[in-house]
Amino acid sequence: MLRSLLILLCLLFSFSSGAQKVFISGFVKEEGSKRPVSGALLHFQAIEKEELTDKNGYFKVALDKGSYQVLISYPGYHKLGVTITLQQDQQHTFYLTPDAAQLKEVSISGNKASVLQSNLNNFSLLKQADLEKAPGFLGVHDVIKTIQTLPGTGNGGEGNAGLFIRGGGSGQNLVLFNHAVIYNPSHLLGFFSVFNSDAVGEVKFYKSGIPAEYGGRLSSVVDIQSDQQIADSLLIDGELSVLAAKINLKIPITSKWSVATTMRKTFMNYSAWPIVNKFTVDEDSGNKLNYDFYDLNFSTALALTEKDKLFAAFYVGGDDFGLDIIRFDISNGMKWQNSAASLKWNRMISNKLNLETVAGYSGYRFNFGMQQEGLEVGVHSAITDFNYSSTLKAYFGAHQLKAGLSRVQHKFVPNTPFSKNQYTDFDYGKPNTYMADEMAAFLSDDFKFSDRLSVYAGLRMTWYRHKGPYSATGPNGALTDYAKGKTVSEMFFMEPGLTVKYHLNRSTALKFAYSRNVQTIHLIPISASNFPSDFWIPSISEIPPEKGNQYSLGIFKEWADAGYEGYVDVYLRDMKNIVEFSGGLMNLSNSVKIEDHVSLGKGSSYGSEFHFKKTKGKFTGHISYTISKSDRTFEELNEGYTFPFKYDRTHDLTAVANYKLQVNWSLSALFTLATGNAYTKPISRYLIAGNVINEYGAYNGARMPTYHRMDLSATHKFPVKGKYQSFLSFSIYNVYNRSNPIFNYYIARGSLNTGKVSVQEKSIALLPILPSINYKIVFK
Amino acid sequence: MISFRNTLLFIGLMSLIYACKKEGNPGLYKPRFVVEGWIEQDDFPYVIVTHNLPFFTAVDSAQLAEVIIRYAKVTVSDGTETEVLTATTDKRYFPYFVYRGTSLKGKVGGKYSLKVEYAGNTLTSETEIPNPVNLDSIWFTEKQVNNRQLNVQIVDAANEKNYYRLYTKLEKEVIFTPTLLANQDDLFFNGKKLVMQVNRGMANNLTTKHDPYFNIGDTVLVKLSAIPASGYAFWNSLQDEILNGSNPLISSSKALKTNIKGPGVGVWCGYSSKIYRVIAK
Repeated sequence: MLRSLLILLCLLFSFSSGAQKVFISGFVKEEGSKRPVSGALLHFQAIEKEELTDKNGYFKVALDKGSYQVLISYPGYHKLGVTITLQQDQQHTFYLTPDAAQLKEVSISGNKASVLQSNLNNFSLLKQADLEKAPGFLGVHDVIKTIQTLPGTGNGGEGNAGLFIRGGGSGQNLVLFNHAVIYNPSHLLGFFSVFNSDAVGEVKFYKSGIPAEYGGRLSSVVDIQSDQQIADSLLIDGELSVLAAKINLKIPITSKWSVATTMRKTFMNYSAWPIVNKFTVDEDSGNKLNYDFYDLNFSTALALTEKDKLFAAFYVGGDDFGLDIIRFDISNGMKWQNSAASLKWNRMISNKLNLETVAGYSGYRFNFGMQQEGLEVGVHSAITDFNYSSTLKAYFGAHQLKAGLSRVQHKFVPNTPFSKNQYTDFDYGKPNTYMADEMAAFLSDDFKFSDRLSVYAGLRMTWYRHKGPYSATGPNGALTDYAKGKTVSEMFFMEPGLTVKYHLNRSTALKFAYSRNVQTIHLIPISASNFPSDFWIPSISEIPPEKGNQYSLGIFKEWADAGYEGYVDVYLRDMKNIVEFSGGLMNLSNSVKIEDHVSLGKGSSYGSEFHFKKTKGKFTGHISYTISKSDRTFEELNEGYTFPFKYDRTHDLTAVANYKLQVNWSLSALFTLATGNAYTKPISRYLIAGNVINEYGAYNGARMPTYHRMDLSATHKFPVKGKYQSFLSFSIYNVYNRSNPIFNYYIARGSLNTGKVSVQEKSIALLPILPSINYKIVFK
Repeated sequence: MISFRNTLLFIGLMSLIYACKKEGNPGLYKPRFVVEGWIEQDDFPYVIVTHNLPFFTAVDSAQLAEVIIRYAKVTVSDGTETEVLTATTDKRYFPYFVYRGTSLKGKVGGKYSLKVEYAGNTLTSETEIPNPVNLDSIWFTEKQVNNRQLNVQIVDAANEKNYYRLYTKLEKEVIFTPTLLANQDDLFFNGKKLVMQVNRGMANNLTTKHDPYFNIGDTVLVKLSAIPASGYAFWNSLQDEILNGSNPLISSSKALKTNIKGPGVGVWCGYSSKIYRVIAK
């Protein structure tokens, strides 16, 4: 496979001047500000050919010699019609004039036409406006939640922060925010992601055919970028709801430099939780929740010259969670914090060459503490990453080439236990620390063979190294000490990818995608529900990198005039060296080495995804349905028998609908239904030391009840008054008050002396029906 | 009569399951013996033998009586002396039926093997009685007006691997109850002074009634046992299951670390114990 890909890649390059056509290339920019317009549509009328500009506003089209009528359009701008006569390769820059009336109506919306083109990409493109199409949780719109309405993307059930793509684990997604990795992209139990929608410009979500410039994860890439344009006018907006306040500022400093910042802070400890706690407290399953979070985004964009642009971004967000289990008088507390910073330099070397260089930092801190009376026990965990990458993008004929280098340096301090009481600090010795670095080179080509056929081929080559300081235990029990910077283990691997797209006709296309991915870091699942107590460790010799192959084949169709589009995509995946942790969090505090408690296994998953979307008219929306199977085999678990993946979803259905009621009112609804999580249920019990103890049965052999829920929202847009506009929205989460349990456990009650003992199944369900009101005011 | 029929049924099931070498679907209920045995210094060995129950079987007096294995041959040996224990009722220990020695007594440093034979099945285990450990001091601190919290201090021996298990009882009570976090491993405080603010444990996991403190004036007996590593592993995994099995943040390892070999689970453990008598004030 690898060799044939390499050959293909060489072939692609050698073909660079094969086509007998002339090229028109250039940019589409905004009149006045000269900002590039990304996603503008160029429609060549006589031949019905369409092309979209890339994120630099760049386009390139191969055409026969002759004269063409071109219509250039982008929502929010006046359409531009031009006539071009082509005898040889030509370059043009087109300027679109903003349509003031339209701009007020339409914010940055998706691309109206050429859906087929964009659907055929290996990524789903989401813009801010797409996030607002479904009802937000307590009125808050969210990237990850929006992704979860797409087929093949499961949520882990209520209160689960994880994103489960095509049967993969939540640690198999590369989540990038302005080029920096976000290790725990979730605030509270997944109800909100750490991405404040005001700081989100566009999102590319890849679940198959992951391109070579991304590396290091098996399941998906979520590449989130803030709006990187230089703001041309002041924008202030503020939003207030029952649980959070948010402010968003964009300030132009000069015509070439602007800053943007957005902040969010919740005050749920004063609003939501007292009410939730009031309804859920009882003696046996009583838990007291408290939780709040904040996040802060800052970014600045600077045009150094016409060709050089700098963009710097900084993010910090933190969470403070508490759960008191009344039955045992135990207080659990978790605090976690993500931070990220990046600096990007984009240089247009020529019209055909673009160089992007990024230096970034990612940090993640997690603290878990459990307190019972005077005793405190807990675990700290920390990750510090520095990364650097350079990507050169070149347009040669019908080729779009990308080549680059990247380097990452990791420091993981995954589990530092502590326990203390008033008098004694327990001594757990030196914390486990793992240092690792990675160097990668990548190369890819996106080649249009013809109007019908295009091929993408890419290859990423990575050299990975686990380095000292480290003490390794040999097979004979002898300790080997590695000094700082010394190589403990190293490996080299290749990740090829291939995507072939073939248009059957103007509105129907087939796409095949293959990718092989290697993941050098592992998310060790500890908690029952994907809490942030799950932690990351890098590959070491005992825990080699995770490896996976994915094949997918789909048919894509659009009915452009009627405003419908849809696809069916089938996929098959295999994975190896995936990890499970044997034991609970408390075992960690007793175990000095994590690797002794990790089991390695393999997994497979396959499924079929159906997506149907209506894009035109007062009523819009989409339905996603996935039928799938995902399982795991671990020698040390379930007696070696294959068992279902915890988040195996036989069925997963999501429907999102949006209706424009009148000019100023819109309604939206979301319904989701999915097979329940697999879990391990007790099969027998025994009596020991006067206790009734559970004995557990088949691993993941039981299922939680089917998950389903409906959310509704209504938004009213008040008329613009001078520079102000305001919005009022009402939303209801879990309209019919479905109790979707996240965790089941079993307790015995009674007395052995009287011979009356009953075993009860108890469930923890988090959220009942939750209505909310949001008010938002925008000053421009 | 019913109990006898159930026992026969159980034997049948057991022999059926263990006749096959490779076990089938791991999700099905498998009959197992449950052994809880102990030997303290200067005391006779005690062993309770029961069997497990399918999960949702109703538990009533008849069922509780039925889980007891009454006709096992239980043998304890210290390498030189071997004794077959005598079955007897004992109201102190649930299910009020124990196998007890009458001649062999535990000694510090002694190694003891256990063999339980029943209906063609054999369960074995080994344990030892470690060197005794001491409480350095015991005192109470005030909690509210009438409540007192127990505090203890241990000075760990630096040159010795120690595992501790701590219990309390009121003088008037029959048996000792392990404290809330009863098990300690000196891995984390080797050679140091360990001070513990002790919370009383629940009598068992069938009740939510739990008072972590003593009342002023209570006469309290505090028992500290030194236990071997295998005993620590078992009791700690039991504590993990009881405390964390229902906590979604932590979750338990879902497996008791038994030291019983054969078709059973449980623990055979030697204890070297000291008991202190104090008055809460």
